[in-house]
Amino acid sequence: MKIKFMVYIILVLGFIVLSCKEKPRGDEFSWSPDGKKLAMVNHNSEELLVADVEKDYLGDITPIDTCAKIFAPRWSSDGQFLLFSKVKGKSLEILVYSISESSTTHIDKFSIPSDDYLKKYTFPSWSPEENRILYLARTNQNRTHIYSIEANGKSKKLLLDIDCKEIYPMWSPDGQLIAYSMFKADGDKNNGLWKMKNGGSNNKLIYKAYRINQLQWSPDGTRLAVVKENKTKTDLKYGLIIIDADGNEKEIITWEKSEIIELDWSPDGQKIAYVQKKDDLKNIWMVDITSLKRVKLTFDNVEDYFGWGAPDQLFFTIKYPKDLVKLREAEKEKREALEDILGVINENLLISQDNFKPVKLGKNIYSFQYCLQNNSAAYFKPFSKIDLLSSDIYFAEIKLSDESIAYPSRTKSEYIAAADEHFLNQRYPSALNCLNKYWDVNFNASDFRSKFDVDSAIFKMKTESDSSQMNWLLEEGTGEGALLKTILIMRRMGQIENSNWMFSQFKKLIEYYLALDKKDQKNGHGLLSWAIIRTYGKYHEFDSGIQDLEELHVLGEQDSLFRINIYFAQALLALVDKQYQLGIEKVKQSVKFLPDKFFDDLEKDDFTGFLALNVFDLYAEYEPMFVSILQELVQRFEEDEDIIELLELLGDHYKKTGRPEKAFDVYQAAVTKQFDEYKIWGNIFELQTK
Amino acid sequence: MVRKIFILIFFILLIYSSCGKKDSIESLFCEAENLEADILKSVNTISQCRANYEKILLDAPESEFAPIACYKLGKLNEIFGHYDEALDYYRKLVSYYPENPVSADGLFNIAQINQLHLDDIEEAITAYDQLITFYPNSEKIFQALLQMGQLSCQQDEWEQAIEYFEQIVVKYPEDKICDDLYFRMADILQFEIEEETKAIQMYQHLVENYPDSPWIKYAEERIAELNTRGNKNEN
Repeated sequence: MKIKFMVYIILVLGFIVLSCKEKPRGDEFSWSPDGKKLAMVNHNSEELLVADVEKDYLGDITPIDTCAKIFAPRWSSDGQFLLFSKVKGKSLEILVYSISESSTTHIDKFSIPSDDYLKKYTFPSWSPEENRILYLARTNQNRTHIYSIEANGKSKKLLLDIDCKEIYPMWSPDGQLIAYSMFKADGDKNNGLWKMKNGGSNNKLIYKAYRINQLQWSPDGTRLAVVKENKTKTDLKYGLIIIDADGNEKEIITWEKSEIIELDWSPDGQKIAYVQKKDDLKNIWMVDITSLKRVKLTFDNVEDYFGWGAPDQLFFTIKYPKDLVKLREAEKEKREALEDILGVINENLLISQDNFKPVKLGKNIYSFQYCLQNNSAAYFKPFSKIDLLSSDIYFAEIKLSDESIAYPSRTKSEYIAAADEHFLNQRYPSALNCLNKYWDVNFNASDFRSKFDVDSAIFKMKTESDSSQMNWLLEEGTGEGALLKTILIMRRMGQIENSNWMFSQFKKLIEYYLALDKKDQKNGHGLLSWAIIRTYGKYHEFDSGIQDLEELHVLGEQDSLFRINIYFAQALLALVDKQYQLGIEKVKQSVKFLPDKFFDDLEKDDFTGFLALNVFDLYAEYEPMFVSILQELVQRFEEDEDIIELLELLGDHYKKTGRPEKAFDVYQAAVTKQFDEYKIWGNIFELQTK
Repeated sequence: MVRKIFILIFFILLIYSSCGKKDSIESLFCEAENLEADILKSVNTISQCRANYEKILLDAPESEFAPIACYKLGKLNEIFGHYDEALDYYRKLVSYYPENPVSADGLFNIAQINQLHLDDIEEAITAYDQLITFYPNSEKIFQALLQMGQLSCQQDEWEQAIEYFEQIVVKYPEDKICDDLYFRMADILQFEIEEETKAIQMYQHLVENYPDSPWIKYAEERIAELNTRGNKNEN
């Protein structure tokens, strides 16, 4: 039982890690008005950064502030100031960074009721014309204040003091007016759209509504597009309405039963894009303001909406169609096993509606921000770390106007992610540059070897009791795959001498690792071999992987579990590369190293883990031979109390591949061995019913 | 004797004809069996064909063949009346391969399935609209505009119908259907929208530009009738 349990634990941990992966919020990037600077929030390093951006390269990156929760960096219209918010505990601080003075000014700080408060419109915004900031603050007495203040923190002016929680203000494009929606309570006569002058005078309700949940000024400031909720006793409807600046209804574009969650004028004011949400399905519609003709752009598959680029260009992502073909269970598992080894991520597709022409721009894109001024784009991409038990991250990528790619990396994981991207796109020198930063060495300098010299690290440890270098090498060399990646990049660059030397150090490291006590072999052989498999797999280095691993067998002559894992690693690389015969040979060789009593050590769980989760799935083409190996194992460990695991594996396989009678027999044999296996009984009942 | 010979011939013919019937039933049966074999053979062929397309889509989703494979899988399902599956493939095609011209065909088929088989006119209109907007140069545009015109008529959206028909006659002035469309537009203008001046202009255009049209006679009659009514109103 413990074997499956272990496999499940690994899966569950993996799942928890995946579900912890926090997707970017969408407000992390902000291009300066002239397109020469990019402000960005880096969640990995917990920094706010400003990067100089040129046509074909990314210049200096300046850290502006550090905090785990930095929100909504926004440039002033002259590009001289950067406004941003920091949240610590239950207080929100508003700050402005001055580019010319390289200093930050505190604007205000107030407590926030909850994280729900942190929405797009609650963060401060710049006046379009002057360097004045508009922001909301909630008082302890449950009142909302709207303030305006200068960028230097002077001339603070209270524009509105009201007992209302739900209020969203927005500057008119010329900065002379402020429109805001207000919702006090069901049926309150003050609910609707209000307007005041930028100094707070002439405040009046211009459009009554049960609730206004979206509002946007047209670019010329003559009209407002609003989403109005209408509530009857039985019904709630959402209307997209255009009104003039005095609140007169001009056009009713549509009434929908489902919510409209985003609303956006095109820069030329000729079209409106809006996002409609029904249950969990989102769609984007585009309306021509002149003809009022609406076109649906999507098929219930929108993931994120990024807004307009040029006047006729709209960006959004759709969910990646995971099931392009409806797969049977066995095929699905094979696919998942393959994608796991190859490090394939398929989450979404970036689409540009370019003058109504849909174009697919990229894959796995988050927080996309396009800059019209310099024709560049900033966005995040997901990166699956090799170690199953470590968390995944999102890393920033900048596509410059000359189509080259730059990475404003700040953390080790980001350097590795960038190195992978460069390697997979055959930009090997750039990949090695990223690794220079990862290791903090210069691989082009002659003295880089001292840092990776295992013998001297061991010597230092023994004579000076300094184990830092050895620990560092061990962690990087056997964990995240950075050492192997460095070797593979060097090989591709033709630096054979260096790569051979580095591989010799890798082998010494493994030798040292194998000599450690079991408790010091941190994650065990299973996770070590996974790191190796995923490194060679992601870099598509199958043959060299199989060949390199051959050299490791000698090191583990005394450690049969290590050899089993290395054979499995070779087997998986061969199977992924469709070298099925070789794959089978390697599985057979691994089986030879199984000790007589199979299930007495928890670490051996990796064996069935491999069988169950990977070899089985990748083996479909040579399935009969695999089954024969499994049958052989069943015979060999017939007396073992945990043989039931192998029987269940075999039964599941027969069931998945459409042989219910055989599955039934095997499941019966399993419950005969151990009666209280409810899951297997479940399978038996299911097969009997069918 | 002669009578006996006739009776004998009659029985021989009867037996012969009944034998013929037996033969024909047998041959019917044989033919059915052969057809059944063909069906079975084609079922296998279809399965193989489907498997190949699926493999292309799975193993090489970025290859030039993948969008076509996706379209064909939709078509196969459509042929066999599996409309939900067909729609699923067509939607994936349009979402995943928007730049490929075959996506226009996919959208057209989405519209047709909704219109003709699922009776979902709203979805059909959405898909025709998408096709007309995203793929203005597609070969299916003519059909899409025509369908949209007709659907607009069905929903009493007369101005919209005229817009669609007008797009056809402007885009395809040489098409044999243009004279019908001019007559239809004039008819809508006269009886539904009640814009008689525009109706006369439309009839006039038909008369002047399509001299061989069977509608000429009716168009001339209506012009005359509308003019007479116009004169009376003036008086």
